[in-house]
Amino acid sequence: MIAVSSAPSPEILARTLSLCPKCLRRIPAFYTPGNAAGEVLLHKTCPEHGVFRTPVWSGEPDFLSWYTRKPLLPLYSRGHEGRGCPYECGLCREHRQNSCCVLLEITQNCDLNCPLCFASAGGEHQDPSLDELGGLLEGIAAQAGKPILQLSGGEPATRNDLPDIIRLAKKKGFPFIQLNTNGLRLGAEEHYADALAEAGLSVVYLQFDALKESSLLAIRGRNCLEVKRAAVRAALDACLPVVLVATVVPGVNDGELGELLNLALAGGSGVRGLHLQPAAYFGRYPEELSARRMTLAELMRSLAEQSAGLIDAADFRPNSGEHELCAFSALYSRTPEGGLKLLRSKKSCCAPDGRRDAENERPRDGAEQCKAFTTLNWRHPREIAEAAGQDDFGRILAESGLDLRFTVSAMAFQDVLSLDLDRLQQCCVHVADKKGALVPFCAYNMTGLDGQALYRDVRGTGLRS
Amino acid sequence: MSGRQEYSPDRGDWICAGCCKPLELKKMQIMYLENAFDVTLPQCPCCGRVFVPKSLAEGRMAEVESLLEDK
Repeated sequence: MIAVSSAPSPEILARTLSLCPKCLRRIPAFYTPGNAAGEVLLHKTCPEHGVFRTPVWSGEPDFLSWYTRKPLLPLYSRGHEGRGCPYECGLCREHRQNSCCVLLEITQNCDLNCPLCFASAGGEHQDPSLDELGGLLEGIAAQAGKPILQLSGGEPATRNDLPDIIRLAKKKGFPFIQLNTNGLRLGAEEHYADALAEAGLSVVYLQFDALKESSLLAIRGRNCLEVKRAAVRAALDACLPVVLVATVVPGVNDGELGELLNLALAGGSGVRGLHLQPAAYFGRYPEELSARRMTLAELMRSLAEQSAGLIDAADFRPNSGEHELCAFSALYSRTPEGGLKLLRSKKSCCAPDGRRDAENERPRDGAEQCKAFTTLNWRHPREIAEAAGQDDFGRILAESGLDLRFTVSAMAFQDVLSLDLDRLQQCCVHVADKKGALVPFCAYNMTGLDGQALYRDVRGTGLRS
Repeated sequence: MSGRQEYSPDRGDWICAGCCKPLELKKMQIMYLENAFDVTLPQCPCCGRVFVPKSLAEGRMAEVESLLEDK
Protein backbone atom coordinates (compact mmCIF):
# COMPACT_ATOMS: atom_id res chain seq x y z
CA MET A 1 0.00 0.00 0.00
CA ILE A 2 1.11 3.54 -0.65
CA ALA A 3 1.08 5.75 2.40
CA VAL A 4 0.79 9.50 2.07
CA SER A 5 2.54 11.13 4.94
CA SER A 6 1.98 14.64 6.19
CA ALA A 7 4.66 17.13 5.29
CA PRO A 8 7.91 15.82 6.79
CA SER A 9 9.86 18.83 5.58
CA PRO A 10 8.89 22.20 4.14
CA GLU A 11 9.82 21.07 0.68
CA ILE A 12 7.93 17.77 0.63
CA LEU A 13 4.18 18.12 0.89
CA ALA A 14 3.34 14.45 0.40
CA ARG A 15 5.05 11.28 -0.78
CA THR A 16 3.86 8.66 -3.21
CA LEU A 17 5.10 6.37 -5.97
CA SER A 18 5.06 6.96 -9.71
CA LEU A 19 6.68 5.65 -12.89
CA CYS A 20 9.71 6.77 -14.82
CA PRO A 21 8.20 8.34 -17.94
CA LYS A 22 10.95 6.79 -20.06
CA CYS A 23 11.41 3.23 -18.84
CA LEU A 24 8.10 2.90 -16.90
CA ARG A 25 9.88 1.51 -13.85
CA ARG A 26 8.25 2.26 -10.51
CA ILE A 27 10.03 5.04 -8.63
CA PRO A 28 9.42 7.20 -5.54
CA ALA A 29 7.83 10.60 -6.07
CA PHE A 30 6.81 13.53 -3.94
CA TYR A 31 4.77 16.70 -4.14
CA THR A 32 6.75 19.87 -3.65
CA PRO A 33 6.09 23.59 -4.01
CA GLY A 34 6.88 25.07 -7.42
CA ASN A 35 8.18 28.52 -8.22
CA ALA A 36 4.82 30.26 -8.58
CA ALA A 37 2.66 30.96 -5.52
CA GLY A 38 0.46 27.99 -4.75
CA GLU A 39 2.02 25.85 -7.45
CA VAL A 40 2.72 22.22 -6.60
CA LEU A 41 4.88 19.88 -8.65
CA LEU A 42 5.12 16.11 -8.73
CA HIS A 43 8.85 15.47 -8.48
CA LYS A 44 10.44 12.12 -9.27
CA THR A 45 13.89 10.80 -10.06
CA CYS A 46 14.73 7.73 -12.10
CA PRO A 47 18.24 6.43 -11.35
CA GLU A 48 18.75 5.91 -15.06
CA HIS A 49 16.79 8.73 -16.68
CA GLY A 50 17.01 11.58 -14.21
CA VAL A 51 14.58 14.07 -12.71
CA PHE A 52 11.04 14.78 -13.91
CA ARG A 53 8.88 17.56 -12.50
CA THR A 54 5.28 18.18 -13.53
CA PRO A 55 2.81 20.80 -12.27
CA VAL A 56 -0.24 19.18 -10.67
CA TRP A 57 -1.76 22.05 -8.69
CA SER A 58 -1.78 25.83 -8.92
CA GLY A 59 -3.11 28.43 -6.51
CA GLU A 60 -6.41 28.48 -4.65
CA PRO A 61 -7.80 26.39 -3.14
CA ASP A 62 -4.58 25.69 -1.33
CA PHE A 63 -3.18 22.23 -2.15
CA LEU A 64 -3.01 21.00 1.44
CA SER A 65 -6.47 22.28 2.31
CA TRP A 66 -7.86 20.28 -0.62
CA TYR A 67 -5.62 17.22 -0.32
CA THR A 68 -6.24 15.76 3.12
CA ARG A 69 -7.41 12.23 2.56
CA LYS A 70 -5.84 9.48 4.58
CA PRO A 71 -5.26 6.09 2.99
CA LEU A 72 -8.32 3.87 2.70
CA LEU A 73 -8.22 0.21 3.57
CA PRO A 74 -7.59 -2.49 0.96
CA LEU A 75 -10.71 -4.16 -0.40
CA TYR A 76 -9.46 -7.00 -2.54
CA SER A 77 -7.33 -10.03 -1.80
CA ARG A 78 -5.91 -10.74 -5.25
CA GLY A 79 -2.13 -10.74 -5.07
CA HIS A 80 0.60 -10.21 -7.63
CA GLU A 81 2.75 -12.72 -9.41
CA GLY A 82 5.33 -10.34 -10.77
CA ARG A 83 6.00 -6.63 -10.74
CA GLY A 84 2.84 -5.54 -8.90
CA CYS A 85 1.15 -2.15 -9.21
CA PRO A 86 0.54 -0.78 -11.81
CA TYR A 87 1.72 -3.57 -14.08
CA GLU A 88 -0.75 -6.28 -13.02
CA CYS A 89 -4.18 -4.62 -12.83
CA GLY A 90 -7.17 -6.12 -12.18
CA LEU A 91 -8.35 -4.98 -8.86
CA CYS A 92 -5.85 -6.30 -6.35
CA ARG A 93 -4.80 -6.07 -2.74
CA GLU A 94 -3.27 -2.64 -3.41
CA HIS A 95 -6.57 -1.20 -4.58
CA ARG A 96 -8.73 0.70 -2.14
CA GLN A 97 -11.87 1.67 -4.00
CA ASN A 98 -14.70 -0.23 -5.62
CA SER A 99 -15.96 0.34 -9.13
CA CYS A 100 -18.32 3.25 -9.53
CA CYS A 101 -18.24 3.31 -13.31
CA VAL A 102 -16.94 0.58 -15.61
CA LEU A 103 -16.09 1.35 -19.22
CA LEU A 104 -16.70 -1.32 -21.80
CA GLU A 105 -14.98 -0.57 -25.09
CA ILE A 106 -17.31 -2.12 -27.62
CA THR A 107 -15.23 -1.05 -30.62
CA GLN A 108 -11.87 0.47 -31.52
CA ASN A 109 -13.28 1.94 -34.75
CA CYS A 110 -14.08 5.62 -34.92
CA ASP A 111 -15.66 7.98 -37.44
CA LEU A 112 -13.93 11.12 -36.18
CA ASN A 113 -10.23 10.28 -35.82
CA CYS A 114 -9.48 13.17 -33.46
CA PRO A 115 -5.96 14.56 -33.20
CA LEU A 116 -6.44 14.10 -29.42
CA CYS A 117 -7.58 10.60 -28.42
CA PHE A 118 -6.67 8.74 -25.23
CA ALA A 119 -7.62 5.45 -26.89
CA SER A 120 -5.61 6.11 -30.06
CA ALA A 121 -8.78 4.92 -31.80
CA GLY A 122 -9.17 4.59 -35.54
CA GLY A 123 -8.11 2.28 -38.32
CA GLU A 124 -10.06 -0.88 -38.98
CA HIS A 125 -10.63 -3.33 -36.20
CA GLN A 126 -12.74 -6.40 -35.69
CA ASP A 127 -15.39 -5.62 -33.09
CA PRO A 128 -16.10 -8.07 -30.28
CA SER A 129 -19.23 -10.10 -30.92
CA LEU A 130 -22.41 -9.83 -28.88
CA ASP A 131 -21.52 -13.15 -27.26
CA GLU A 132 -18.09 -11.89 -26.31
CA LEU A 133 -19.59 -8.70 -24.90
CA GLY A 134 -22.11 -10.78 -22.96
CA GLY A 135 -19.24 -12.67 -21.36
CA LEU A 136 -17.45 -9.43 -20.47
CA LEU A 137 -20.64 -7.98 -18.98
CA GLU A 138 -21.07 -11.07 -16.81
CA GLY A 139 -17.46 -10.71 -15.70
CA ILE A 140 -17.97 -7.06 -14.79
CA ALA A 141 -21.09 -7.90 -12.79
CA ALA A 142 -19.26 -10.71 -10.98
CA GLN A 143 -16.44 -8.41 -9.95
CA ALA A 144 -18.16 -5.08 -9.46
CA GLY A 145 -21.85 -5.80 -8.84
CA LYS A 146 -23.97 -3.28 -10.67
CA PRO A 147 -21.73 -0.33 -11.43
CA ILE A 148 -22.63 2.40 -13.84
CA LEU A 149 -21.79 0.99 -17.25
CA GLN A 150 -20.29 3.30 -19.83
CA LEU A 151 -20.27 2.02 -23.39
CA SER A 152 -17.14 3.48 -24.91
CA GLY A 153 -14.62 2.95 -27.65
CA GLY A 154 -13.60 4.04 -30.31
CA GLU A 155 -16.99 5.43 -31.21
CA PRO A 156 -19.72 3.07 -30.01
CA ALA A 157 -22.22 4.36 -32.58
CA THR A 158 -20.09 2.95 -35.41
CA ARG A 159 -21.62 -0.39 -34.44
CA ASN A 160 -25.01 -0.95 -35.99
CA ASP A 161 -25.94 -3.31 -33.19
CA LEU A 162 -25.49 -0.67 -30.48
CA PRO A 163 -29.19 -0.87 -29.48
CA ASP A 164 -28.78 -4.65 -29.13
CA ILE A 165 -25.73 -4.13 -26.92
CA ILE A 166 -27.71 -1.75 -24.71
CA ARG A 167 -30.52 -4.30 -24.46
CA LEU A 168 -27.97 -6.99 -23.63
CA ALA A 169 -26.49 -4.88 -20.84
CA LYS A 170 -29.96 -4.22 -19.43
CA LYS A 171 -30.71 -7.92 -19.57
CA LYS A 172 -27.50 -8.64 -17.67
CA GLY A 173 -28.72 -6.39 -14.89
CA PHE A 174 -26.90 -3.09 -15.43
CA PRO A 175 -29.38 -0.45 -14.28
CA PHE A 176 -27.67 2.68 -15.59
CA ILE A 177 -26.00 2.80 -18.99
CA GLN A 178 -24.07 5.76 -20.34
CA LEU A 179 -23.12 6.18 -23.96
CA ASN A 180 -19.77 7.88 -24.43
CA THR A 181 -20.20 9.29 -27.92
CA ASN A 182 -18.96 11.96 -30.30
CA GLY A 183 -22.60 12.49 -31.34
CA LEU A 184 -22.00 12.35 -35.10
CA ARG A 185 -24.49 9.58 -35.76
CA LEU A 186 -26.87 10.82 -33.09
CA GLY A 187 -27.00 14.23 -34.76
CA ALA A 188 -27.18 13.00 -38.34
CA GLU A 189 -29.42 9.95 -38.38
CA GLU A 190 -33.14 10.40 -37.97
CA HIS A 191 -34.74 8.29 -35.22
CA TYR A 192 -31.36 6.95 -34.06
CA ALA A 193 -31.80 8.57 -30.62
CA ASP A 194 -35.25 6.97 -30.39
CA ALA A 195 -33.74 3.56 -31.05
CA LEU A 196 -31.17 4.06 -28.28
CA ALA A 197 -33.81 5.32 -25.86
CA GLU A 198 -36.08 2.42 -26.67
CA ALA A 199 -33.23 -0.01 -26.05
CA GLY A 200 -32.86 1.35 -22.52
CA LEU A 201 -29.99 3.85 -22.67
CA SER A 202 -29.85 5.98 -19.52
CA VAL A 203 -27.81 9.03 -20.53
CA VAL A 204 -25.83 10.42 -23.43
CA TYR A 205 -22.32 11.35 -22.30
CA LEU A 206 -21.71 13.66 -25.22
CA GLN A 207 -18.29 14.86 -26.28
CA PHE A 208 -18.76 18.62 -26.67
CA ASP A 209 -15.51 20.53 -26.30
CA ALA A 210 -16.01 23.93 -27.82
CA LEU A 211 -18.06 26.27 -29.94
CA LYS A 212 -15.23 27.94 -31.84
CA GLU A 213 -14.21 26.44 -35.13
CA SER A 214 -10.50 26.81 -34.37
CA SER A 215 -10.87 24.90 -31.12
CA LEU A 216 -12.85 22.10 -32.73
CA LEU A 217 -10.30 21.82 -35.51
CA ALA A 218 -7.46 21.60 -32.99
CA ILE A 219 -9.11 19.01 -30.75
CA ARG A 220 -11.40 17.08 -33.11
CA GLY A 221 -9.89 17.74 -36.50
CA ARG A 222 -13.08 19.13 -38.02
CA ASN A 223 -15.76 21.68 -37.34
CA CYS A 224 -18.50 19.42 -36.01
CA LEU A 225 -20.42 22.04 -34.05
CA GLU A 226 -23.70 21.83 -35.94
CA VAL A 227 -23.92 18.07 -35.86
CA LYS A 228 -23.18 18.14 -32.14
CA ARG A 229 -25.94 20.68 -31.58
CA ALA A 230 -28.20 18.40 -33.58
CA ALA A 231 -27.13 15.47 -31.39
CA VAL A 232 -28.20 17.36 -28.27
CA ARG A 233 -31.59 18.16 -29.84
CA ALA A 234 -32.12 14.61 -31.03
CA ALA A 235 -31.29 13.13 -27.63
CA LEU A 236 -33.56 15.54 -25.79
CA ASP A 237 -36.38 14.94 -28.27
CA ALA A 238 -36.05 11.22 -27.54
CA CYS A 239 -36.17 11.95 -23.78
CA LEU A 240 -32.55 10.93 -23.37
CA PRO A 241 -30.77 13.07 -20.79
CA VAL A 242 -27.51 14.63 -21.92
CA VAL A 243 -24.29 15.52 -20.13
CA LEU A 244 -21.91 17.70 -22.10
CA VAL A 245 -18.32 16.50 -21.77
CA ALA A 246 -15.45 18.76 -22.77
CA THR A 247 -11.77 17.97 -22.99
CA VAL A 248 -10.11 21.20 -21.90
CA VAL A 249 -6.83 22.01 -23.61
CA PRO A 250 -4.91 25.03 -22.29
CA GLY A 251 -4.49 27.67 -24.96
CA VAL A 252 -7.18 26.09 -27.14
CA ASN A 253 -10.63 25.96 -25.51
CA ASP A 254 -9.94 26.96 -21.91
CA GLY A 255 -11.51 30.33 -22.66
CA GLU A 256 -14.82 28.74 -23.69
CA LEU A 257 -15.87 27.29 -20.34
CA GLY A 258 -18.45 30.01 -19.75
CA GLU A 259 -19.92 29.51 -23.21
CA LEU A 260 -20.13 25.76 -22.65
CA LEU A 261 -21.89 26.37 -19.34
CA ASN A 262 -24.36 28.72 -21.01
CA LEU A 263 -24.96 26.22 -23.79
CA ALA A 264 -25.69 23.48 -21.26
CA LEU A 265 -28.07 25.69 -19.31
CA ALA A 266 -29.83 26.90 -22.46
CA GLY A 267 -30.42 23.29 -23.50
CA GLY A 268 -33.14 22.96 -20.89
CA SER A 269 -33.53 20.62 -17.98
CA GLY A 270 -32.78 17.53 -20.11
CA VAL A 271 -29.16 18.69 -20.14
CA ARG A 272 -28.17 17.41 -16.73
CA GLY A 273 -24.63 18.61 -16.41
CA LEU A 274 -21.34 19.87 -17.73
CA HIS A 275 -18.32 17.62 -17.22
CA LEU A 276 -14.80 18.86 -17.88
CA GLN A 277 -11.66 16.86 -18.44
CA PRO A 278 -8.35 18.75 -18.55
CA ALA A 279 -6.30 17.15 -21.29
CA ALA A 280 -3.89 14.46 -20.15
CA TYR A 281 -1.21 13.41 -22.53
CA PHE A 282 -1.60 9.73 -23.19
CA GLY A 283 -2.70 7.93 -26.31
CA ARG A 284 -2.71 10.23 -29.36
CA TYR A 285 -2.24 14.00 -29.21
CA PRO A 286 -0.48 16.78 -31.10
CA GLU A 287 2.86 17.28 -29.42
CA GLU A 288 2.55 21.06 -29.48
CA LEU A 289 -0.54 20.90 -27.25
CA SER A 290 1.25 19.05 -24.47
CA ALA A 291 3.45 21.94 -23.39
CA ARG A 292 0.97 23.28 -20.80
CA ARG A 293 -1.22 21.61 -18.26
CA MET A 294 -4.41 22.79 -16.65
CA THR A 295 -4.72 21.78 -13.02
CA LEU A 296 -8.02 21.19 -11.26
CA ALA A 297 -7.47 24.33 -9.18
CA GLU A 298 -6.99 26.42 -12.30
CA LEU A 299 -10.06 24.83 -13.85
CA MET A 300 -12.24 25.69 -10.84
CA ARG A 301 -11.13 29.32 -10.96
CA SER A 302 -11.49 29.59 -14.73
CA LEU A 303 -15.00 28.20 -14.59
CA ALA A 304 -15.96 30.69 -11.90
CA GLU A 305 -14.36 33.60 -13.74
CA GLN A 306 -16.14 32.80 -16.98
CA SER A 307 -19.53 31.98 -15.48
CA ALA A 308 -20.72 35.59 -15.02
CA GLY A 309 -21.40 34.95 -11.35
CA LEU A 310 -23.31 31.70 -11.76
CA ILE A 311 -20.54 29.64 -10.18
CA ASP A 312 -18.13 30.31 -7.32
CA ALA A 313 -14.84 28.39 -7.23
CA ALA A 314 -15.62 27.60 -3.58
CA ASP A 315 -18.71 25.64 -4.70
CA PHE A 316 -16.56 22.69 -5.65
CA ARG A 317 -15.67 19.72 -3.47
CA PRO A 318 -13.65 16.55 -4.04
CA ASN A 319 -15.79 13.62 -5.13
CA SER A 320 -16.63 10.81 -2.77
CA GLY A 321 -15.26 7.98 -4.85
CA GLU A 322 -12.19 9.43 -6.47
CA HIS A 323 -8.92 10.65 -5.06
CA GLU A 324 -9.00 14.37 -4.28
CA LEU A 325 -6.47 15.19 -6.98
CA CYS A 326 -8.61 13.41 -9.56
CA ALA A 327 -11.99 15.09 -9.48
CA PHE A 328 -14.33 17.77 -8.21
CA SER A 329 -18.03 18.46 -8.50
CA ALA A 330 -20.84 20.75 -7.45
CA LEU A 331 -24.57 20.19 -7.45
CA TYR A 332 -26.94 23.00 -8.36
CA SER A 333 -30.60 23.65 -8.91
CA ARG A 334 -31.63 25.66 -11.95
CA THR A 335 -33.52 28.81 -10.94
CA PRO A 336 -36.52 30.22 -12.87
CA GLU A 337 -34.34 33.19 -13.84
CA GLY A 338 -31.86 30.92 -15.62
CA GLY A 339 -29.33 30.95 -12.80
CA LEU A 340 -27.92 28.28 -10.53
CA LYS A 341 -28.45 27.77 -6.83
CA LEU A 342 -25.84 25.67 -5.03
CA LEU A 343 -27.14 22.54 -3.27
CA ARG A 344 -24.70 21.42 -0.61
CA SER A 345 -24.63 17.71 -0.02
CA LYS A 346 -24.88 16.84 3.66
CA LYS A 347 -23.98 13.29 2.83
CA SER A 348 -20.86 14.29 1.01
CA CYS A 349 -17.40 13.39 2.02
CA CYS A 350 -16.71 16.81 3.47
CA ALA A 351 -16.49 17.96 7.05
CA PRO A 352 -18.01 21.36 7.93
CA ASP A 353 -14.83 23.21 7.07
CA GLY A 354 -14.93 21.72 3.60
CA ARG A 355 -12.16 19.24 4.27
CA ARG A 356 -12.61 15.55 3.83
CA ASP A 357 -13.68 13.59 6.84
CA ALA A 358 -11.63 10.58 5.85
CA GLU A 359 -11.51 8.94 9.25
CA ASN A 360 -15.27 8.55 9.26
CA GLU A 361 -15.54 7.48 5.66
CA ARG A 362 -16.05 3.77 5.12
CA PRO A 363 -14.13 2.41 2.14
CA ARG A 364 -17.20 1.26 0.28
CA ASP A 365 -19.07 4.51 0.73
CA GLY A 366 -17.17 6.50 -1.83
CA ALA A 367 -17.97 4.51 -4.94
CA GLU A 368 -21.56 4.00 -3.79
CA GLN A 369 -21.98 7.73 -3.24
CA CYS A 370 -20.56 8.46 -6.66
CA LYS A 371 -22.99 6.00 -8.22
CA ALA A 372 -25.92 7.51 -6.35
CA PHE A 373 -24.87 11.03 -7.38
CA THR A 374 -24.79 10.07 -11.04
CA THR A 375 -27.86 7.87 -11.25
CA LEU A 376 -30.00 10.28 -9.28
CA ASN A 377 -28.98 13.50 -10.94
CA TRP A 378 -28.40 12.42 -14.54
CA ARG A 379 -31.91 11.25 -15.34
CA HIS A 380 -34.40 12.87 -17.63
CA PRO A 381 -37.09 15.16 -16.13
CA ARG A 382 -39.77 13.13 -17.85
CA GLU A 383 -38.65 9.99 -16.02
CA ILE A 384 -38.82 11.92 -12.77
CA ALA A 385 -42.35 13.14 -13.57
CA GLU A 386 -43.47 9.63 -14.46
CA ALA A 387 -42.13 8.31 -11.16
CA ALA A 388 -44.47 10.66 -9.31
CA GLY A 389 -47.46 8.56 -10.30
CA GLN A 390 -45.90 5.29 -9.23
CA ASP A 391 -45.61 5.59 -5.45
CA ASP A 392 -44.87 7.98 -2.61
CA PHE A 393 -41.14 7.56 -3.12
CA GLY A 394 -41.52 8.67 -6.72
CA ARG A 395 -43.73 11.55 -5.60
CA ILE A 396 -41.04 12.76 -3.19
CA LEU A 397 -38.44 12.52 -5.94
CA ALA A 398 -40.61 14.55 -8.27
CA GLU A 399 -41.62 17.16 -5.71
CA SER A 400 -38.08 17.71 -4.48
CA GLY A 401 -36.95 19.61 -7.54
CA LEU A 402 -34.81 16.74 -8.77
CA ASP A 403 -35.79 17.64 -12.31
CA LEU A 404 -34.11 21.03 -11.93
CA ARG A 405 -30.78 19.71 -10.77
CA PHE A 406 -27.62 20.47 -12.70
CA THR A 407 -24.14 19.12 -12.05
CA VAL A 408 -20.80 20.71 -12.83
CA SER A 409 -17.94 18.28 -12.50
CA ALA A 410 -14.41 17.57 -13.64
CA MET A 411 -11.96 14.74 -13.76
CA ALA A 412 -8.20 15.10 -14.15
CA PHE A 413 -6.70 12.07 -15.80
CA GLN A 414 -3.11 11.11 -15.13
CA ASP A 415 -0.46 10.67 -17.75
CA VAL A 416 3.00 9.26 -17.29
CA LEU A 417 4.40 12.55 -15.98
CA SER A 418 1.62 13.21 -13.46
CA LEU A 419 0.98 9.60 -12.42
CA ASP A 420 0.60 9.05 -8.67
CA LEU A 421 0.02 5.42 -7.69
CA ASP A 422 -1.89 6.53 -4.61
CA ARG A 423 -4.42 8.17 -6.94
CA LEU A 424 -4.49 5.11 -9.15
CA GLN A 425 -5.19 2.83 -6.20
CA GLN A 426 -8.16 4.95 -5.15
CA CYS A 427 -9.65 5.04 -8.64
CA CYS A 428 -13.30 4.04 -9.05
CA VAL A 429 -13.43 4.43 -12.86
CA HIS A 430 -12.31 1.19 -14.40
CA VAL A 431 -11.96 -0.22 -17.89
CA ALA A 432 -12.86 -3.84 -18.57
CA ASP A 433 -9.94 -5.13 -20.61
CA LYS A 434 -10.24 -7.83 -23.27
CA LYS A 435 -9.92 -10.56 -20.67
CA GLY A 436 -12.45 -8.92 -18.38
CA ALA A 437 -10.02 -7.61 -15.76
CA LEU A 438 -10.99 -4.23 -14.29
CA VAL A 439 -8.14 -1.79 -14.82
CA PRO A 440 -8.12 1.79 -13.48
CA PHE A 441 -8.79 4.13 -16.40
CA CYS A 442 -5.46 5.95 -16.23
CA ALA A 443 -3.43 2.74 -15.97
CA TYR A 444 -5.29 1.32 -18.94
CA ASN A 445 -4.53 4.35 -21.09
CA MET A 446 -1.02 5.05 -19.80
CA THR A 447 1.70 5.55 -22.40
CA GLY A 448 5.35 6.33 -21.83
CA LEU A 449 7.37 9.21 -23.28
CA ASP A 450 8.12 7.08 -26.32
CA GLY A 451 4.45 6.14 -26.80
CA GLN A 452 4.84 2.67 -25.33
CA ALA A 453 1.51 1.60 -23.81
CA LEU A 454 1.27 0.00 -20.39
CA TYR A 455 -1.91 -1.94 -21.28
CA ARG A 456 -3.32 -1.11 -24.69
CA ASP A 457 -1.98 -2.92 -27.71
CA VAL A 458 -1.62 0.30 -29.71
CA ARG A 459 1.17 2.79 -29.36
CA GLY A 460 0.52 6.37 -28.36
CA THR A 461 2.22 9.52 -29.60
CA GLY A 462 4.85 9.87 -26.95
CA LEU A 463 5.54 12.90 -24.83
CA ARG A 464 8.29 15.39 -24.31
CA SER A 465 9.61 15.44 -20.77
CA MET B 1 -51.76 8.30 -4.28
CA SER B 2 -52.36 5.91 -7.12
CA GLY B 3 -49.89 3.38 -8.46
CA ARG B 4 -47.85 0.74 -6.73
CA GLN B 5 -47.74 1.18 -2.98
CA GLU B 6 -47.52 -2.50 -2.10
CA TYR B 7 -44.12 -4.09 -1.70
CA SER B 8 -44.17 -7.86 -1.39
CA PRO B 9 -40.92 -9.74 -0.79
CA ASP B 10 -38.90 -10.09 -3.98
CA ARG B 11 -39.12 -13.86 -3.70
CA GLY B 12 -40.19 -16.60 -1.30
CA ASP B 13 -42.38 -16.79 1.78
CA TRP B 14 -40.83 -15.13 4.78
CA ILE B 15 -41.34 -15.82 8.45
CA CYS B 16 -40.28 -13.67 11.39
CA ALA B 17 -37.04 -15.04 12.85
CA GLY B 18 -38.07 -14.13 16.39
CA CYS B 19 -41.74 -15.19 16.37
CA CYS B 20 -41.77 -17.88 13.65
CA LYS B 21 -44.93 -16.27 12.22
CA PRO B 22 -45.47 -15.76 8.48
CA LEU B 23 -45.22 -12.09 7.50
CA GLU B 24 -48.40 -10.37 6.37
CA LEU B 25 -48.81 -7.38 4.07
CA LYS B 26 -49.95 -4.39 6.13
CA LYS B 27 -50.65 -0.79 5.25
CA MET B 28 -48.46 1.57 7.22
CA GLN B 29 -46.88 4.97 7.17
CA ILE B 30 -43.13 5.26 7.34
CA MET B 31 -41.33 8.48 8.13
CA TYR B 32 -37.94 9.62 6.93
CA LEU B 33 -36.49 13.07 7.50
CA GLU B 34 -39.94 14.62 8.05
CA ASN B 35 -41.45 12.96 4.99
CA ALA B 36 -44.29 10.45 5.26
CA PHE B 37 -44.68 7.51 2.91
CA ASP B 38 -47.87 5.44 2.74
CA VAL B 39 -46.89 1.92 1.83
CA THR B 40 -47.91 -1.68 2.25
CA LEU B 41 -45.05 -3.84 3.51
CA PRO B 42 -44.60 -7.33 4.97
CA GLN B 43 -44.92 -7.22 8.75
CA CYS B 44 -44.80 -9.77 11.55
CA PRO B 45 -48.32 -9.97 13.02
CA CYS B 46 -46.83 -10.81 16.40
CA CYS B 47 -43.93 -8.42 17.11
CA GLY B 48 -44.71 -5.83 14.44
CA ARG B 49 -41.28 -5.88 12.82
CA VAL B 50 -41.36 -4.75 9.19
CA PHE B 51 -39.50 -6.34 6.31
CA VAL B 52 -38.27 -4.03 3.56
CA PRO B 53 -37.69 -5.96 0.33
CA LYS B 54 -34.20 -5.66 -1.13
CA SER B 55 -35.46 -4.18 -4.40
CA LEU B 56 -37.18 -1.35 -2.55
CA ALA B 57 -34.32 -0.77 -0.12
CA GLU B 58 -31.73 -0.58 -2.88
CA GLY B 59 -34.03 1.12 -5.37
CA ARG B 60 -36.49 3.91 -4.72
CA MET B 61 -35.89 4.04 -0.99
CA ALA B 62 -32.15 4.48 -1.50
CA GLU B 63 -32.81 7.18 -4.09
CA VAL B 64 -35.08 9.08 -1.77
CA GLU B 65 -32.60 8.73 1.06
CA SER B 66 -29.85 10.07 -1.14
CA LEU B 67 -32.02 12.93 -2.33
CA LEU B 68 -33.35 13.97 1.05
CA GLU B 69 -29.90 13.90 2.58
CA ASP B 70 -28.60 16.05 -0.26
CA LYS B 71 -31.06 18.82 0.53
